[in-house]
Amino acid sequence: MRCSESSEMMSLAVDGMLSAHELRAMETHLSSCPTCLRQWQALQALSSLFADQALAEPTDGFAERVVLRMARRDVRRQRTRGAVGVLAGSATLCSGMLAILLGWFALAWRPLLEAVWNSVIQPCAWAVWNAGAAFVGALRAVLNAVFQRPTALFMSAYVLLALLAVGLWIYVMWRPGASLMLPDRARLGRR
Amino acid sequence: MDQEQHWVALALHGDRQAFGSLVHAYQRPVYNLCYRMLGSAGEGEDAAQETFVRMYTHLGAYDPGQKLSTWILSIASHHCIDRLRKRRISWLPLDEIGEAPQVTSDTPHAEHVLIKESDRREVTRLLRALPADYRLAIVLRYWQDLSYEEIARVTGTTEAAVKSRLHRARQAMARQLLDRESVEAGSVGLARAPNKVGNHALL
Repeated sequence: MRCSESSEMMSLAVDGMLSAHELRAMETHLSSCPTCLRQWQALQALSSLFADQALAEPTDGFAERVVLRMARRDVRRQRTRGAVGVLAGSATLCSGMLAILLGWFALAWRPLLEAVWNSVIQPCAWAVWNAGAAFVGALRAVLNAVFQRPTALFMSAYVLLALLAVGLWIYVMWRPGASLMLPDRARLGRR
Repeated sequence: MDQEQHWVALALHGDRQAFGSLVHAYQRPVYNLCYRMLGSAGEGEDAAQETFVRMYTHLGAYDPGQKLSTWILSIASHHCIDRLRKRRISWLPLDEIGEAPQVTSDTPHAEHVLIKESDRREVTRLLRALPADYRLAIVLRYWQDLSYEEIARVTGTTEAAVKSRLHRARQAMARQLLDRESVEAGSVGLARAPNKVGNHALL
């Protein structure tokens, strides 16, 4: 028998799960293997150590504390449900009232609203739209000027400059112990 | 219908008194399992209470064909394993583990109590060094006295896995005992050091 087999059998032997034949085979191995014998003795020491340990008991009133915990949890749940119900009800009520108010306002003040729409909102919207369109047109013209006419030299110089700027920014931001936002305390301390 | 099933049926209809009777009936095994798994009386109590609360909440899912003790221990086991997984750093010092008996110099069996306390600490130390699933197998085997088949049902694994876990857990604990013995022998001197392992040997 190999030591690994013997080791597995020892655990079963502790639980009384070996047949008489298997037990004899294990004992034969133990009588010729000091290492396994030592392990067997340690396992038996463990068994007797664990067998002496009584079932740990909770302190008095455990069942009452469990029932109290359940009651507290019930109260917490009821409170949460109540709070959610109140919030949902309030939100529904408010939105309903707002809808009625807006409807009434729209009907009662229709001429005024139309006047405000025609004289203020519509002209403003048109102004914003025209300004946007002008800006987009100008941008398109600039881009056309840059990309259609100019030489490759201009574009290359521009791209190179941009890359240099990005590289410089990364170097300044990421170099060890450096920050543009905060003073370098270590360096200040040395001064 | 036996008494337990009667209590379960009543508890299902919201009878807290019947549920209290169930707690009374199972508080010792559940508390012991939680205490041995978590290693402290306070955490054991909290986990045991939570086990019963979960039991009450999921009572509707209980299959009466299943043994009630297996079902409750299964809830407690899973809860303890979850707690151990969440607990990344074990911050409890060993001195604060578990309930220690009060020992005074007037106690007639003070020496006996001290030996018991030392054994209790040794058991706690050995269990603590085990992975959670090995520890669970050992607790169910030694304190609940469950068979391999019952342990497999409680932990939701196979009998072969239970056999392997018990074997590995015992090997690890035996190694700890032997290592400690060799360290003690090395520090005191082999001739003078008592052979702790040999003292328990029955072969």
